[in-house]
Amino acid sequence: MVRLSAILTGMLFMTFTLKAQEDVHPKSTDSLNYGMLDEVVVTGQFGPRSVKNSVYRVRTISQQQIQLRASTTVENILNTQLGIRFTNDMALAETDIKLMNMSGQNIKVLVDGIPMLDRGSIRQSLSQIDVNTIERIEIVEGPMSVTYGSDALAGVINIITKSGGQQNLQVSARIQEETAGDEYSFMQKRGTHNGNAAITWQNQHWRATASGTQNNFGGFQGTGEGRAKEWAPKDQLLLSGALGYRNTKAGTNYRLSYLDEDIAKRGPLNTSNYKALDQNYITKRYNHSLQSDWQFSDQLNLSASASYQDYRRRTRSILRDFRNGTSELADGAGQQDLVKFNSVFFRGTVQYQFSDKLQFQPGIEINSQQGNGQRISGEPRISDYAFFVSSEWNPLLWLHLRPGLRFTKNSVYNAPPVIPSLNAKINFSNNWAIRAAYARGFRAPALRELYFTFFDSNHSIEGNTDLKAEYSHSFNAYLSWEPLTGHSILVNSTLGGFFNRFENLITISGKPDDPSINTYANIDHFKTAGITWENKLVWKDLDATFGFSYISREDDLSNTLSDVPSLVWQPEVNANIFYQIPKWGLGINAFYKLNGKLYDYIIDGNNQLFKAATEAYHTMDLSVNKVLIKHLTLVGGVRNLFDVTRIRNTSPGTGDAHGGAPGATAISYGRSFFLGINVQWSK
Amino acid sequence: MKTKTHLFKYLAFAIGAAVFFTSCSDDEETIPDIPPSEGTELTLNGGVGGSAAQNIVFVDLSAAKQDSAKRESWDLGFYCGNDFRVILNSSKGAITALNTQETDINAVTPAKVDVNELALGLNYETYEFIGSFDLIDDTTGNLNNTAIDAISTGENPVYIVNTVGGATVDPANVWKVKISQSTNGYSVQYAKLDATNVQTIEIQKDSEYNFKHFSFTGGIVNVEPPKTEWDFSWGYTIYFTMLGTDPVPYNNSDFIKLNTLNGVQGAMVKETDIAYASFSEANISSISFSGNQNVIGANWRTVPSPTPGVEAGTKKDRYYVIKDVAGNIYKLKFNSFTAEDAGKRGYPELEYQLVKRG
Repeated sequence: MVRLSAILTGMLFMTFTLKAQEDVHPKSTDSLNYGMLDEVVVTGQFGPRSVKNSVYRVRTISQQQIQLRASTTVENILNTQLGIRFTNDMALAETDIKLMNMSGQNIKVLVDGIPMLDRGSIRQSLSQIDVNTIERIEIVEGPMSVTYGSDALAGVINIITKSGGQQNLQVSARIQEETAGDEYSFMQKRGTHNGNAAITWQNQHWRATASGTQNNFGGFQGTGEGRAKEWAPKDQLLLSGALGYRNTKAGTNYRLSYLDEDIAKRGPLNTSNYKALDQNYITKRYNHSLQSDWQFSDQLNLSASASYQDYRRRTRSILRDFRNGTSELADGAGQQDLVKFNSVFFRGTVQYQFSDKLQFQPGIEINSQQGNGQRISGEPRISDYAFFVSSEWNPLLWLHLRPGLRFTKNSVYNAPPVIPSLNAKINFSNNWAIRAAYARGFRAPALRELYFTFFDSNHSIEGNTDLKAEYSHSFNAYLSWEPLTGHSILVNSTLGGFFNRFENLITISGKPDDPSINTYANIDHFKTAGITWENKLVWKDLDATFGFSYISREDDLSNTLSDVPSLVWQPEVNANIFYQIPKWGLGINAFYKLNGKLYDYIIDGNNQLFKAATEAYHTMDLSVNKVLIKHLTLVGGVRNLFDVTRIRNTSPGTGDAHGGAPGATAISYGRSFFLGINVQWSK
Repeated sequence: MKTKTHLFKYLAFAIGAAVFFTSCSDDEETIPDIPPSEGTELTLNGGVGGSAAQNIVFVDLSAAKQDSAKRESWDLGFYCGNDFRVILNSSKGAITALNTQETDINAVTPAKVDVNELALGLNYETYEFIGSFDLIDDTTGNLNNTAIDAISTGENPVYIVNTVGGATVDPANVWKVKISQSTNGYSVQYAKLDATNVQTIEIQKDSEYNFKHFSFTGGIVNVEPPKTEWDFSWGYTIYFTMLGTDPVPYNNSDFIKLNTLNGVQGAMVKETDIAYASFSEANISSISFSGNQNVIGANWRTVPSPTPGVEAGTKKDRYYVIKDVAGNIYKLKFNSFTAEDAGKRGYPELEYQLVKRG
């Protein structure tokens, strides 16, 4: 902490020095301009459309919100959102997301509408996206399989990247230092260290951008023994560049992003033989994407996206012998491995405006994935071909209907041939609207679930090529009330409810005789249900959201045991508040969420039914922004104010494969402090 | 390091003594008194294969040496003691034998027997266990309870043997065998189940060994060292596990069996009772030695498991005391065996120290 205060002082000194050299513009709040009154969304839409007019209920998180929170990870951006939770795999140092009580494999993660490639069912790709390139995050709950295909059961998280502004030339830079709990050292090793630099140039037709980000996390000792840290250090280098051309009728944009990630896990020292096993997980990704749209006439638009993604993850294990001062590459099964995945993706859609009241969007989608590695049998390729059509029909002024169908053909497994959906939006009045939907969702068995084989001393997992696709029937309805909309005030409130019934859910299950052998299996009859209540107030310089949700998930055991309720419920409360004082160039922000107690029924070793609980916990971040001089903003604050590290979990046998010690689920490395500087310059 | 110095000291002494006696004795050589090893560290050479390492390893504590043999190199073991007993190679896993109730080996044909009765293992589709303990030898090493009955002086039945165990049986792996007593040994007739060319081999008992080992495809093979030259074996073996509430045969890795047939005994000691470092001759009286072959078994380590909180590695809360046939008493502990405790699967590390010389 001594060193933290040193850097704080240093940074303040530096900024004040800069301040003294330039004229002070107290009213320049460019970087904090924060208007949310006309949010535009694209996820699931035929074209950009205001949130209010969307047939889907779409939640958005803007770039400004991300900047005000000074987030350096997507996880941090999302962790105070209603219905979103994260689970940590401490052994692999990976994090998975849960949306509406469904794990990552049922969530579609998109970047500009293109699905991110993941090596397994965990949505690790979320942690491999450069936060500094995000313009906006759109979240749609409920199945979007008609438009987005497999995996879009629980919902879609669409990350929209920055696409330029008004200026010819923009340069931005960011440096941020953060403690990891009470561990910190200046600019290196302990703590989190982030830096970003980006440049964008554009003229009437052309636009070019380049961005580079370095994220270094020094790990956290926590409950780790000796040289082994509970939270493994992670270094990321993220580079991206884009080139685009646009005229009045058409636009094309190419984007390449690159990731180099190194997660370094040091093993505990065995004091009997003075040896330790160190492992590195080194990931490299190249994501190419090409997007085009053409406007042929007032009635006819065409858009197309194509992407090629290359993913490589190397596992390197080194056995260190401290007595002899030697190191050798460990040669056990899976201890040295290179896993390669690639995906080819194409989506083409035509938007045809038949009349004022009727629009059609037919489209095709091709998605082909290939993987290989020691743990994958062969070099399987799965190809998915889909044709989908949806239409927006406004038969009456107050009624919007959106029916859709998707036809899928898969090269490996029997995909559900037809997926329907029907969304409706009814405007009772200017202030009242209801959105209701029925949709079928599906999730294809992933490459890993079909072909993965991994037997070593640590894991026994085998893929199952007999898996069927998961599918769901989903119903949801949202009642929205928006009594006040004006220049300086907006109030709205939405009450929603949903019910999902999943069939053939794919899950890892231990073989009964030997829990160390796992395979994938289709488990029938699974459901979730819930209600959400979300409220928003924008008044002058205050922007606040407040929400409550009560979400349930079916317990497996309820099928066989009458003592187990069919649905196990969990409450959540959240609030995100932004308050600006423009004349001081100051912003104060608070982000809060209560993750309620989570119950789980298990049969213990004595064949007794046991109701296990994962304790409730609070997540809260506070941040303060101050525009120091025209182009320079200082941001500081605290994350995880309540210093949550591990929460009590009374179920020793449940949770994820590497959840950590029994009785505790690892949540975070504790209360952290951060301080950063943003420079934004444009002309 | 200390134990190694001791080792060298004694070795030098032994060599010196040997030189002295060789040079000075005129007529008959006196066998020098070779002290037992003071103890050392050993990395057992299980060979490749990880949790199903290819070797079975035999350790002689007093000579501080290990021998290894390919565990799948043999099928049957012929007892060299007083009784006429034949064992199945438990280190191959679920290798099984079944009495055909027929005494004419030529009369045993694929049409006469159902090889599926040799199946042993879990059917992963129905989760039902197939087969029973009757198809394998006693997992405690009791020679009175082997799958193949004692070889009598009279007419003995033909057995069918599945040399590659599992829940399904490939008839290509099934052999038929008829074993009879011969003068100080066994006479063995054998053939593949579907073959007519019956081969015969004579196997003589050798009192220096516990067993003579035999392979259907390779004849007599060397596996175990002479019985006085090993105290325990390490390797893969069939044992048992609990399926629900019922014990079922089950393969185990890293399983340690004491050479109880040659009188080796052992005991487990908890660190909380007497710390390994302080265990000395004075503590021996508090130990009750057991003649149970599996007193160490697989109890010395925790295997990796996806269950949270299960820390894989050797169990640091215990160590073992072993009394060899010469009466030497050693304390022995395991230091590593898997990646989780910075070891290598198939190459466990152990250390031991002489507590009392026999």
